[in-house]
Amino acid sequence: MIKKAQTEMLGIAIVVILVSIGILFIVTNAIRSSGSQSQKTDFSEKQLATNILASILSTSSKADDCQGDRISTLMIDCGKGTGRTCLLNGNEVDVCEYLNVTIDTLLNATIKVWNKKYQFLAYKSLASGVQINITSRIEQCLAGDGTGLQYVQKDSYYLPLYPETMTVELSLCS
Amino acid sequence: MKKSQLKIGESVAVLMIFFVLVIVGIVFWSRYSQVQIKSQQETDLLSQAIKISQTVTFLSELQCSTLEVIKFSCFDVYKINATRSLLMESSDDERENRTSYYFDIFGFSNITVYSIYPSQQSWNIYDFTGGNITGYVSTQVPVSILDPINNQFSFGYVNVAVYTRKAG
Repeated sequence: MIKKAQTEMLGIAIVVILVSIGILFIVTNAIRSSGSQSQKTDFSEKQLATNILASILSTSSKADDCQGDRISTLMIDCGKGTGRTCLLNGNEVDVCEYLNVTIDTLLNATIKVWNKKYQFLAYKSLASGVQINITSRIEQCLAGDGTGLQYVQKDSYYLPLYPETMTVELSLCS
Repeated sequence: MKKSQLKIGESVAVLMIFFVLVIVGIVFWSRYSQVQIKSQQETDLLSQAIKISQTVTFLSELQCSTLEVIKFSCFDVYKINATRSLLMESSDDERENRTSYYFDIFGFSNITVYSIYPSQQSWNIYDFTGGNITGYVSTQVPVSILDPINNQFSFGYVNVAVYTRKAG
């Protein structure tokens, strides 16, 4: 009698071990495949952030609007507060306003269309450590409770304002 | 006699349950494998698209250069036009030869450069389907497009679509 009970217990133990091995195998496989997928996504998003910032900063404005000057030059003018004006749809506007609209157009036509969540920021840091926002475009980059960024791939460029520095940042959130 | 029949019945029931469990396991595993294979195929296609987009962005046939200094993430509009006419507008024989040269690099894909600001334009520089397409996976890389005559940089991107094809 004892022998039969022991044999049944052994049977149950073998079944439990087999089921555990199966579950472990499936979980390991799932984790491994999601890991390699996320590495590829990280790489392409980091590259996307770098390329989009480099391209935006070197883009020329329309010749009739801002003498065809590049966005980086206009950003420096905006950061220095030179009071420069540009033409936007035929109306004379401050260079900072012109930048806001133009950068919005570029981001809307690319990363927004590609369904990427992003945060674009340009700010100057004063010697006192105070940061002044020049322009910012935030698209669904905040966590559900609005407290902070979710996982990001970030790239930054620095523009000289003498004596301050302007930082231009693009973060892609997932 | 009855007891041994009962024993046989019990053994048959245990074996039936065992085989039912094995069959359920095999069905579950094959479905799981199918999903895994499909997902792996998509990942491989995406990797291929990323690899091609990397190659395109560093292709000397397209890159901007001044005094042999190459500018990062920039295409020369005249080089784009030249590449396009070489690969897409030449006679059938020439086109076939040139496409077969680039096939080793780009495979079954479609590569298009888009300019979106200040002017909107697009250039399809490579397209090889090889027939039997079932779909595609695409990736985009933002680039600047330089018009060296006017020294004007446009904002744009390269779209690389890798085709999925029917096997066989």
